[in-house]
Amino acid sequence: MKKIMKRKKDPEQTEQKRVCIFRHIVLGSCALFTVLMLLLFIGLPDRPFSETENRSLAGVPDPDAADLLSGRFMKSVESWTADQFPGRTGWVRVRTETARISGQNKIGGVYICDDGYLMEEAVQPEEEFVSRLVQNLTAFRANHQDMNFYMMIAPTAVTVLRDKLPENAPAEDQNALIRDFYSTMQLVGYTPVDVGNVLEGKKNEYIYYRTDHHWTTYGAYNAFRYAAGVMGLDPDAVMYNSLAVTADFNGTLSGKSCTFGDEKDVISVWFPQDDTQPAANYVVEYADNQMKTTTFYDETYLSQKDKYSVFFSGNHALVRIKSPTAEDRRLLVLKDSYANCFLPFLAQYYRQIDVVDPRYFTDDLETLIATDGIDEVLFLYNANTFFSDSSLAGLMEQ
Amino acid sequence: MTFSSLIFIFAFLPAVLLLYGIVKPARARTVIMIIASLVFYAWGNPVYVILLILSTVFNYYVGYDLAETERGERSRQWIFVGAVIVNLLILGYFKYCGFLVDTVNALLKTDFAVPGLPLPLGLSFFTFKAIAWIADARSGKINPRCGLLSFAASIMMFPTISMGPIDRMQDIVPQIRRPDFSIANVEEGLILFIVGLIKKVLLADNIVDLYNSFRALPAGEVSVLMAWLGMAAFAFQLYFDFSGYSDMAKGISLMFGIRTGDNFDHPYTAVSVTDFWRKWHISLSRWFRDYIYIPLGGNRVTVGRHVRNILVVWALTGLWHGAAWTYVAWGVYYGLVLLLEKYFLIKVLEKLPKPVRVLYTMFIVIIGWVFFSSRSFAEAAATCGALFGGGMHALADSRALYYLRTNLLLLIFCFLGSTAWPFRFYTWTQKKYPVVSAVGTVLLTLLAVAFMVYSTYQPFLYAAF
Repeated sequence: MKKIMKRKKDPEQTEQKRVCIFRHIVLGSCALFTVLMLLLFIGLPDRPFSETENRSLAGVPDPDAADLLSGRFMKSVESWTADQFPGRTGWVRVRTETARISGQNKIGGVYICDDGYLMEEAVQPEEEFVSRLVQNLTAFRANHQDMNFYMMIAPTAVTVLRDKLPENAPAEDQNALIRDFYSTMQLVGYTPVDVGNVLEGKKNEYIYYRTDHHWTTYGAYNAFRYAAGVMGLDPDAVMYNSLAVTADFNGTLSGKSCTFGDEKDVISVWFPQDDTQPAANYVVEYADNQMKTTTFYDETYLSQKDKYSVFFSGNHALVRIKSPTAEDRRLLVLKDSYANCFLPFLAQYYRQIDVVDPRYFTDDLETLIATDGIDEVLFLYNANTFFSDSSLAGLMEQ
Repeated sequence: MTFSSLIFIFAFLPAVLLLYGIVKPARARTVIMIIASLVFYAWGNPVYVILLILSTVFNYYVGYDLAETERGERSRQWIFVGAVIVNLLILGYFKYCGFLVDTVNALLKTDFAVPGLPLPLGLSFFTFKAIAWIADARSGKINPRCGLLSFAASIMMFPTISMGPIDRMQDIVPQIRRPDFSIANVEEGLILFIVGLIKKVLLADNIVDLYNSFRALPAGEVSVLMAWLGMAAFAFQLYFDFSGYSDMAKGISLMFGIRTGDNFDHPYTAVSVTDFWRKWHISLSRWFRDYIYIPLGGNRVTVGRHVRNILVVWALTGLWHGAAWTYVAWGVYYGLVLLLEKYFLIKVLEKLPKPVRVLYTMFIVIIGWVFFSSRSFAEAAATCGALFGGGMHALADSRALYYLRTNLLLLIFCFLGSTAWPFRFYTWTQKKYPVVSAVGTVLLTLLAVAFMVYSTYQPFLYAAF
């Protein structure tokens, strides 16, 4: 009788024991893991910069009575611990891969497309944003009746290469947005430079980087040839040779979507075939650091992550490009980084080009126009920056 | 500091737990709990710590006075009512001031400025705990001689300060005084915490993207399928966020040797709306039952009074959830459905098969969430329209199919996670294959950590310095 009782009890006891084993393992592993992470966090030196995120990482915050009272200090502590969390990039990658396996093909606002393309989703601007922009651009145009105003808003890959998007991807078409905007601006005296069709015509060629949100120099050149027609320039006056300067470019979208490193892009720079052209004899002046060079390119960036900055070493508040052209035409370009690989083509035709990036420019635009004797203005943007960045509208309000 | 933040999991919680384990005297543990809770509370908005301390001291002594001091019935009543009003004024000032001003402005076409103070963390929760404390003191249900420190540690303990459960202080105080701190409880608590973390980080924080995609669409572009996907995503997000949080709160409390009440019991498997409210935010429903509904007379009154009682309770429940008329409408909606069920429907429902009853309940619940999730009645009406094909955009469009396909696996996990099956399976594996089950638990925990790290990932297209 006793034996039977014991046997009956046995399975329950074993189960109890097993649950205990289960719990010990979980607690033990979690404790070990926490200690390990803490040791790594303390032991490893803080990283100052994240290349994949393209930003400075937070460091040890300084305690400060005011920050403590406002709670800002605690926020800095959280940023610091998160930014310096051991194996940060690896963890992020695990998250991304899991999301991909679960069926997601848009990560961090970037579609993962066919042929290794990464494409940033299209920006949909708020109505107030657009109306403020229209209002300020109209007023700006009205102040300069005697000048030519051109406007080029380039669609990004998500529109031009939409055939490569994941099936049914709900990506908005930028063309309608851009053309609506053009027709509004045309009424107040802007000349649109609609490069949409030109780019669509070249959609099977390498006009956008796979891993970056920019167009390639080849894409920019095709847009330039179309723009030249509109702006009264002869696109065949200069012929070019292209030179691939790196085949190891891993752009911003691979960081943004955390699909690091698999796909690489080629960056090319284009030189005039005939080096008696003005292109060989220009001066580039950077207003922010008072630098003067005789080249559009800064090859030091080719050994860094941010290789697109090979063009004009990235974005600057104001750059002046002076060329010994026969004609004395002076152009103001208000732009985002899409212009950076486009400008060398324009430089062949203008005595002076003032390149203003409203995101960094804090001086008075009217003074610049007056002192530099500007007589033409070109707005050169990609649709995503143009319809999301408020600094252009802000600049006109000054 | 949220439970699902790296600093909480890797620094705050282990440090406090270690200290609590090393220091043996119960009195010292109470003090540690108070200090840790004050740090936790101060983390987001330090100034409000003063409010928390003042409210705690005030309510403790009011309760003490009501329970201990010999007074006439009238003066006891005055003290009680006065203290409740003080609590409600504080809550009202921070939570409902803007709502009140907006309503007055809309009715009288006036233009008073709306005060824009941030809501103190957990205010709605600790106010309710405090009101329960003084109400129970008034009716002689508590022994207030526990001392201020034990009371303070109970009402402000960091596992439950921000979002409940709304426990009765007389259930917590004795445990604070003699916590059942043991390795077994730490283990059990840890596993509860991990389950909650997984619900919150792997399910709620991901399915919310689907809901946001739905909300971002212009009204004319929402297909019927998209509207249902969006509202399902909202229902899942809300449930896994809150029940995940509640599991974590319960788990952390248990690690410190304190058993708190339950808040959720698989509400999306409820077989009637009455049943749903027995399974959803249990501690809140109990509070409204004990401190509003029963004092009003409950159901032991005439039908007319009962209807009034139900509607009052549910309008207040709605208002508690948020300071807007849409929340009040959401509450009253439930009041009406519950009355309908009590007087007619429940007899019909009982004859139906279980799946039909669950479907009926979820239908009512989803329509409720439409009001709960909308910022205005116009938005709620538009969403209702979209759910039933109003505006006739389409039954399903390519966008809806895209979201269905990319979220299918997540939706399946959410669906399963709403039932009791995975939890039964989990318990079974622990008993049969402890090692496999433990490895699975640890791997899922690591995955949750990866998702938490990702949530701090902020890439810039242009170098940000």
